[in-house]
Amino acid sequence: MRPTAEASEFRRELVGLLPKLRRFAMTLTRNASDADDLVQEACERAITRSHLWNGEGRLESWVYAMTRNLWVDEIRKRKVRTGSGTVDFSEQDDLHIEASADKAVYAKQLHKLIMTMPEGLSSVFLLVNVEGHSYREAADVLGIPIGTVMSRLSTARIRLAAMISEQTERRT
Amino acid sequence: MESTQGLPLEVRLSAYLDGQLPNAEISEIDRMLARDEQARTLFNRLKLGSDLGRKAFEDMLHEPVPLALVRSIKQAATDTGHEPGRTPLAPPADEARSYAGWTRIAASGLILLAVGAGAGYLLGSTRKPAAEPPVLFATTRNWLDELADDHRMYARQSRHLAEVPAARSAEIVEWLAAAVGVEFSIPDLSANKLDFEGGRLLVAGGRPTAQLLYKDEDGEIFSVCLQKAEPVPQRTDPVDIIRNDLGLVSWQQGAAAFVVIGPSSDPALETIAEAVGQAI
Repeated sequence: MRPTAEASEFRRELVGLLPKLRRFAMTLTRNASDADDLVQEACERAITRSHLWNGEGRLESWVYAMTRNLWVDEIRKRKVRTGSGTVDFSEQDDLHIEASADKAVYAKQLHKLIMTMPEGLSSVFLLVNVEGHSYREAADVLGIPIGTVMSRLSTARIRLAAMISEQTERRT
Repeated sequence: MESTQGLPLEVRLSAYLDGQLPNAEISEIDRMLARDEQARTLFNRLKLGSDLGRKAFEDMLHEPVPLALVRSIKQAATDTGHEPGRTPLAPPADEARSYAGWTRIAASGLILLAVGAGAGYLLGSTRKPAAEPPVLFATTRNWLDELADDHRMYARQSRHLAEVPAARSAEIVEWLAAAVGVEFSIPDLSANKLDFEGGRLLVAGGRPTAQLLYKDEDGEIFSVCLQKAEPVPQRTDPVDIIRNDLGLVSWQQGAAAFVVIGPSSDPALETIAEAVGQAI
């Protein structure tokens, strides 16, 4: 079946959003392979339900919420299937940024730092601090109370600041 | 705005940083920051964390998007009304952690089906005897592959993109129609936000081929290529294939074979091909 112009436009918008959708998915899955699979499934679902998109607000918020719901389902399935979900951040590698790191390595370590933040913190931080969503919008996307958004956000900021402080101390 | 009265100071300062405090509380925090050094230190730490995290997340936007992901969106749209198939994006590192593994198997089948359908179209488009399929398949594949290579090379020649510029459109039509042996007009793709840049004469699959070059507002180059083929009674269905960074939509119409080439990440290629088919 040939897509209509409207469906093509919807797909075009989704493709344009892919970098942001992948970034959001990474805050949930914390590994690229799962994030890409998750984005793919979310986009497929968004396309099949595109008639439900009313064009109000941000399209990415609508797809983000879909992505988050799919991930919650996936985690539930994994827990049933293997008795485990994602790897807890405390079990992952050391989070410190090396003081001696060159620019490329530093950027890589920053990326790693973000990826090793607990899921709840990094998603909230991304939505509010980076993408400028309101607390209400972030709460709706993530399915959590506004109070939780606020506390997670401040915790994320303090953790990130602690990392950079350690780096500065090592350099001096 | 939610009240933050009674919440920990870091939460209140964080909300202040985001401009998400009620007006009455903003002035309260202003006064606090003016007189309380500990509050100022905490506020500066929150701000530092914000800046560091924002930088890290912004860098993530520059990572390349896997082509398979773009392709899956395009394919999902063509499957409207059906349960969408999934294309595997990366081999599972661990079966136990594999994400919906069974769908990968189904997707592999879909890919094979798509490749088979593409090959079928290519075979059909040559209109040669069925006794020689391997040779015909290779020849026709080369036609598309050669055009993809030509497009990739000339799209980078920003100062010498076209052999004859768009300003000499009448000359382009007369010249290329005679060389290729196909009557055509230059499609106006302005509705697709594409500006005509000019034309070239290429050789693809051993046949003269006209290449009409277009540019979009982002500077991306699109080609419409055509060469003589045996007549078909009606326009064939378009076939969408990807060659690395390029997407190609090909079909047959009248006594010619056509292909539209553009960035594989552009979901509008089929729409452009549709417009070309109607206008050319």
